Amino acid sequence: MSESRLQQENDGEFEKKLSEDISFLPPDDRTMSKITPFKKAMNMVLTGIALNCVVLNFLCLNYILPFIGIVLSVLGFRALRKENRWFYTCFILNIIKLVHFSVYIALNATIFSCSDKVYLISEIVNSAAAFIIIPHVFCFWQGLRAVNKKAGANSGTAAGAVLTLWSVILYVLQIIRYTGLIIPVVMLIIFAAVFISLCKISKNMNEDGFSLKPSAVKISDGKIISAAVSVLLVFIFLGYAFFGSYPMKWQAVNEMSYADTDEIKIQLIELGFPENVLNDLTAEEIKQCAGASKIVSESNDHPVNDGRTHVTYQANQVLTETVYDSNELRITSVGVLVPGEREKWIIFHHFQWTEDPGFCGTESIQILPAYIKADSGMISDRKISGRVLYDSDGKTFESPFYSLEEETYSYSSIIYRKYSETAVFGTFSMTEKGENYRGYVYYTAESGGLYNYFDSRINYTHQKSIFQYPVMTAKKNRMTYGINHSGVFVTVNDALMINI
Amino acid sequence: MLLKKSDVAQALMKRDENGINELLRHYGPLIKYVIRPFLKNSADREECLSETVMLIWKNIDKFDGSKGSFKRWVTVVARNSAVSFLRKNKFSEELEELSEKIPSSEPSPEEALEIKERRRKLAKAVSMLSEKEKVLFYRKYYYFQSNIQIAAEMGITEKAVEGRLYRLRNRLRVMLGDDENE
Repeated sequence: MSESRLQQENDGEFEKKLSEDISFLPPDDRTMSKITPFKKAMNMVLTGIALNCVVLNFLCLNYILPFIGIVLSVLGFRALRKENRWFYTCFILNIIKLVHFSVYIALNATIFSCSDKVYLISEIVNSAAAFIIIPHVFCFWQGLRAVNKKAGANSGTAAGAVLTLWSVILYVLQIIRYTGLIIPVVMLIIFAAVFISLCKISKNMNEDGFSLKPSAVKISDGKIISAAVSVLLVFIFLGYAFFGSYPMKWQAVNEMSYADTDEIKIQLIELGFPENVLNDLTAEEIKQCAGASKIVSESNDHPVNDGRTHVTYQANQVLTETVYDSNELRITSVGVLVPGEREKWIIFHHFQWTEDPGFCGTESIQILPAYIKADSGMISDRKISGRVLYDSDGKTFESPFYSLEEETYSYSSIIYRKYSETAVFGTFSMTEKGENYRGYVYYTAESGGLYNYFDSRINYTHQKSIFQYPVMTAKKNRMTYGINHSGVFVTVNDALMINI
Repeated sequence: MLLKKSDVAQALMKRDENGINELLRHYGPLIKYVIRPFLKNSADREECLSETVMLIWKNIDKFDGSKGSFKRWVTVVARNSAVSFLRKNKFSEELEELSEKIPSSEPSPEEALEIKERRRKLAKAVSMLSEKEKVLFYRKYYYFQSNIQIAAEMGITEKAVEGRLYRLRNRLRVMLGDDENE
């Protein structure tokens, strides 16, 4: 007789003896309480519901907990799906939620989440996904009622009805973006009471042996969890690796076009135009400055690092200050008075990294031009241009800004007051393979005779680190005035004031 | 009149016939859950359910609250009732296959001694199992749940159940000192 057949027969005999002997040793209460038809599945479903309703806005828990909750709900309803059509519907709805939420989390690891178009689409999709909670909770309630009915029992499932109504109210509050405090607190209390009731119903049904049609498990829960988490992490990694900076159109600068600008350059330098800025301008831009009669310029070096704390002791007092050993970012602003009907100025805002900027993510320059305020008294065609440059292997490369346009946006202050502002934003990303990164923007403005001075401001926002979630661009950070993302971004301010 | 779950045992002890209705209301699904793996036929299950309820009604005086909960006692009666029903009605191939695992009733005196010793060893071995192992053990060998049912209710694959049962059997063999396997 073969060994496996012998083993099989021995196993059979052994099992028979076990069954004979164990008849006289029933399980104790503790063991018996664990032999239930759907305790694990229902626990996963209820935990999933709870985690989807808990919102903790720190350490990314507002993403992690709902994701765990949705995965648990999928696993729980996977086991229950064959019991009735309600639980099957819940299973499908949770799969849809899982796909949507995974895409949402992955998208937040890219700069696309900050794009206005993508934001609009994702708001619509997110609202549709949020609506799913209503049919989900309703089907869950009906599923419990069906199990109840099948077992010939009539234990109350009214908590499910209350939860359905609760989810409708929650959805409406989300849609109208309710910002009050009283209703959410009341909703939270109601949810807690309903949830506890549902847990009790589930526990009772479970312990009372309400049995279910078992669904064969072909892939274990652990493998599904691993797969879901792995796919998500891969997409997040790809997001950070390939979609964390703007795609720029770098090309080598054509040196030949500067031949007929030497005379103008000499004149400008004599008037005080900084040579390093002049060398970066195109021939056409230099030609626009022909006939200049006055130049006003200001150059400042700004630290972009965190500095170091320096402690001094003076007259029984301990004084601490932040000292910067290097100032990596030079901002030079130049005003050029050129011939025109009215007093016409060309304003240049130039930036140059004097040291390695470190991380190359997204950069933003926010310009508040002289004409931007309605009462500024300055007239302009509001055309603003510029480019970014870097050097590599003795060659200079240029690219237009990824975007350079005027935008009106609103932001909330620290006390949640809303403000509106208009500014010109230029966005770009530096490449890791270069050095001497720099760039500039320029525009023209004419004096309307209202005031005898004007100013033009530049705010440069640099992304220092990759470690942020959700991903925010430097421009978005500046638009929110850095309330959401301290540490990852640093903004440097500069301005040019001209008396006319 | 509706009774609370905790009052059903009391009502049965007082020979209150309403206790039977309440027993079915509160414990009917549990009894059906225990019976289901033994009896595939729904008519047999209904008959066995009725027999179980009658057994509980007749033997309620034997319930000792100090040895465990009323719920536990109900499941023991239900399980034993299903085994008896099966033994009484073993006429189909399916039932025969299952009935091979059901204990036979009348051992000889020597066998009785051997069985007593074996059970003592088994009780000791079971007490040394982890909680998860105990649950799997009782599901399989006491409640006769199929691997599919166990897998579905525990949320694991059938292969995982088979693997765990294989390891459990081997462990019990070692603990029980199974001479036949040498």
